[in-house]
Amino acid sequence: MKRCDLNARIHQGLRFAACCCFLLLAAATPIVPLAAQPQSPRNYPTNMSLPQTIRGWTLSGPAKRVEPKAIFDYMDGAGEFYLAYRFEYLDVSEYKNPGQSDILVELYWMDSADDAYGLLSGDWGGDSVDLASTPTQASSATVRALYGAGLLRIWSGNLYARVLTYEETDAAKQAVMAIGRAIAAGRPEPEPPHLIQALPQAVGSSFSLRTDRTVYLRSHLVLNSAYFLSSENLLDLGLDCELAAAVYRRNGDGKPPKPVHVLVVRYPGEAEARRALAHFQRIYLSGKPAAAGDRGVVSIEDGWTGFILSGKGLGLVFEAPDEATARLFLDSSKQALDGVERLHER
Amino acid sequence: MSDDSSSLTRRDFVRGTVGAAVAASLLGNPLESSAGAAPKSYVTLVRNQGALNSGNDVNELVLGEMLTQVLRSVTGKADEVSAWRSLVKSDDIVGLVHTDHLNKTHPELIEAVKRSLKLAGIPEKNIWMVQGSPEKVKQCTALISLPALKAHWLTGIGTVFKNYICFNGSPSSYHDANNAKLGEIWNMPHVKGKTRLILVDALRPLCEKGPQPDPRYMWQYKGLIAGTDPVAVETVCLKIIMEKRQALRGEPWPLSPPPMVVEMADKQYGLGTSKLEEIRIVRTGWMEDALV
Repeated sequence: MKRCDLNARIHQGLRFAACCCFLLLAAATPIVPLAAQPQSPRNYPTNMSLPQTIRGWTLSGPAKRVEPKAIFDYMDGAGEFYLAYRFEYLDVSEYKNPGQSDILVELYWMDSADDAYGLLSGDWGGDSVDLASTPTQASSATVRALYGAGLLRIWSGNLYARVLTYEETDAAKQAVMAIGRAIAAGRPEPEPPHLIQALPQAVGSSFSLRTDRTVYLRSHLVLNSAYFLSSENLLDLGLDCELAAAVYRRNGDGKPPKPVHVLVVRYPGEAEARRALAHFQRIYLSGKPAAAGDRGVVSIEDGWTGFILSGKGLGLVFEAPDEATARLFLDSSKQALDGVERLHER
Repeated sequence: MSDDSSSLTRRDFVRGTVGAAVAASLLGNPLESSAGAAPKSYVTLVRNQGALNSGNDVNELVLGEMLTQVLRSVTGKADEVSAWRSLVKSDDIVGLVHTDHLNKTHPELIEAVKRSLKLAGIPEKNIWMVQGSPEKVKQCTALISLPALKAHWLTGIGTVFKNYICFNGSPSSYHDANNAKLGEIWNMPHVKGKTRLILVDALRPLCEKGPQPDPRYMWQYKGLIAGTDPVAVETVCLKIIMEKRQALRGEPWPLSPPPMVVEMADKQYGLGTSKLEEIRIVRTGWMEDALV
């Protein structure tokens, strides 16, 4: 399934930026080839050498390696976010330029491209930027990097990168972008996770997917950050699961713009999916005897909620305005779950 | 609460089973106070347009004036010396607890507090930096909490109660859903009753994606928020964060996960009030876009 039109429009609007990117890349000092690259189980490189100098900024020293066990020493209170995905380790570097703000570079090496995508998907805010160095790469409409107020975030294969200047000046921004291009250069550009690709762009004629609110995740902690469901792990999520949290806005029909929330989960097996549905029904739909079986809708305090089990997949609908809409979303969730299985079988 | 479980669900918030402040945060509703209730707690807000320049550098002179205004407002005393003397004794060992990691407390604020304490007669040797050290806290007879205002992806808000997370010696025990219990630290024997002032650095807060710095969500609020009721101070901080989020997006932007720590600190640990209608905010200085 194609990515949304929104992303394509953003991309088209940034062709000028792409040209600037190319010029900036040419201005950077030669990039040290990727160092001896350890290969992850999926043949992704898990190491790189950053340019020693770039646009007047110089690396202050070798990268500091942060292993999962030590991540709380580096970022107490934020480490859980990265451990909620399949995190391998983090490399931290700093660029300095006398009289200018330092630039922090964080390279989060993940087990899979899906995990790195998940980190970017946690916040689609900022301007989409194209870091591609070749026309072939630039032809993709998929958002791979976002910039805002001095912070560049990149999804590049199994790598998620944050490049941050503490004070955004024109020079610092150009340096941040040049570092970003150096990071992305020559790296794989896979498609978004199958689960994301399988989400319908529209449901019926009234609802459209908000790609800028769609999050890919594996953990209930991240789910609660995207859409709070419960203080406990109600859907039995874990690193062997994947979930797409989607928001569908009502198209302009004069009705209140309350969105419908959809969670599509893929478990390692059918038994896990079934157990998770039972857990959800027992806790979240307690007091609702009609909420039984593999498929159903029920009216609760904030609208209609629905659930559907399909093989190793589970679809959940929240805050639908009426029963018919809830059932419509269940149908679309079923199609998405069937679609993701077909994508995985390719 | 949901049946056969101690967990809280979204439905509990919609039903109103939990407190108004927390529910409003999750549902993206305005956090409003009801008129007419007698205040139980006072929270001081001081802002000054000159506190930061465009490069986010602190004007120490202005910050010193703001600190004096805070102290006078919180204590009702005429000057900062009298104010401190009403909060701490001259022979106290005063522990300063700042945010030392990810969106740190501005060092200029820490230095201003040190200078002010010394002016009030507290010997320099009795002013300790105690963040991260339960052992030092045990030896302190007074604590001044100096957190920085920020949202937190795991706890909703990561300001007043998160600031003491290291004081039980096992911060990891408050990870995941256990962060709602952070208030219990304030009742531990070596901490209980020692906090004389909570002074929040709101010069440049972070309203989303904390604690990692993200400049898209940081703004120059140029404020100090203070009081002696930690729950009330956190509630006012929460209100400011919520209002800023709504202003940024132009639509309700729920704080998720909901800051259960605020609710628990009030209802379970009895540390103060989370009801905005029971909090009187005493304002001084520049109040444009004060958000509260």
